[in-house]
Amino acid sequence: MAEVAEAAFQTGVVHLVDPLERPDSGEKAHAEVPRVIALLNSFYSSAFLDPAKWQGGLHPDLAPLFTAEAQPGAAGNLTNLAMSDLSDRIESVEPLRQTLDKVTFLVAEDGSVPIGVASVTFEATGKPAGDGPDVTITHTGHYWLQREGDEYKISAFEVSMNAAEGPDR
Amino acid sequence: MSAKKTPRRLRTAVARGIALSMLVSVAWWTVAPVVGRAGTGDSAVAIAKVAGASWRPERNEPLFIAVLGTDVRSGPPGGGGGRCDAIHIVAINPQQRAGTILNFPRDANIAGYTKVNAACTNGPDRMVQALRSHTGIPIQYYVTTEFSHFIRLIDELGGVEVNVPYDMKDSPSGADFRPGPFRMNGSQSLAFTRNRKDTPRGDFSRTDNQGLFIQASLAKFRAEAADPHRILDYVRAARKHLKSDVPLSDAVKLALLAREVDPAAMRNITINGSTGTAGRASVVFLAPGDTYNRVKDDGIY
Repeated sequence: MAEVAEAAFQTGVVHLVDPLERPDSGEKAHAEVPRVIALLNSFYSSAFLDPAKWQGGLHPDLAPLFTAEAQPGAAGNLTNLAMSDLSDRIESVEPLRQTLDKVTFLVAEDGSVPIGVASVTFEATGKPAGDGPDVTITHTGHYWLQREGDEYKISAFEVSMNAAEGPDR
Repeated sequence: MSAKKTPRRLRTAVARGIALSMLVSVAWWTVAPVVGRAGTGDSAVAIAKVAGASWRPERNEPLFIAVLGTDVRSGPPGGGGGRCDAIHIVAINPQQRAGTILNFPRDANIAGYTKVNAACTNGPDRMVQALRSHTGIPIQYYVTTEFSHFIRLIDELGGVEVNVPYDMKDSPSGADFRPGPFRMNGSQSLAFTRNRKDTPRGDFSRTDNQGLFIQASLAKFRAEAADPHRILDYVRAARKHLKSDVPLSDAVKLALLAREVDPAAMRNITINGSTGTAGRASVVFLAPGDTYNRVKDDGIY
């Protein structure tokens, strides 16, 4: 059994929108980043990196990462959001790049940070179950984030999934 | 020189997932609800839900929004006072990402009002009820604005490029334009949408041009919102001039859906009619034909 790689997203640009331009908003926005990283790590672990969570391409752990309203959309787009049907030919996935390229937060009037947008790049190598070439996976996406309690959930997404045998560049 | 291996594509796909369960709007100020309640009263645009109205996008129901502009020079919108010089119903079909902008002459004579624009003097709710009664269209939301904040909001968003349909030189409104594309600042936008004297059909042309402006605003929003982060930048500009009772979380879906609507798929329809008098007032007698029923059905003319 191959070792399961950890999801470990790195943070790029943190941008914030505070219409009131309060001086402490930047600090507040940066304090939110770990919550977004936690969400992304959970997502990409379940979607790609941890074969035990693929569950035959059903990825049941993904649903709770979306808002209730977004869950049907996620369930209907698993082939673009996760390993899905690739899971029957890939044994493990090794991450090459896990980057939160940019995250923008909206600071609301009351000082809360209820909404964000995260742009993400994930690149990995899929190792086949049997003989055959590696699969290069490139997954990029924009995720709309909505604060629910102490965590963020995905309320909408726009993703691009590319999987190709052999080196992709 | 080594031969380059061509990768065999297993999967290349793009997906978008938007929970279309809340409201949607169509102009650049559609992003305005993202900021939630302003609470300052210093707002250019008020966005509100019509009492008792509902919209069920999961059933692919069309969405109808009244877009109203009063002739109040400054002050908070939605509080009543002033007459409406801009009266529109914007219809959106969420499934087809298309819709209709219905434009009403302000002097339209409808049941209960010698001139429909007077309905605004008691607040936008009254105007919306008048439009609902007249058209039978179940308007669910309304947007209102007035002069001063409209100008500032357009300026903060960098202006709007409008394809001016003909020469305009009108002193009262300040409209001074040549035909063709022109990026208007706030004052110019107001002048363009107010001008009725130097137009081919007076009040009909004015409301038609206001519809063009709504289309242009949607096009601007759509282009700039291709970068999702830009949507929140819009919010920053709009925030100072916004008042809304729309929940914050709903607004994201609204903005994302507004981004999907192709302005070219929005028909700009001005209601036909003829001019005449009612008592001593010069009015427009509307002749909508089957327009209302066609739009009421699915939002598409």
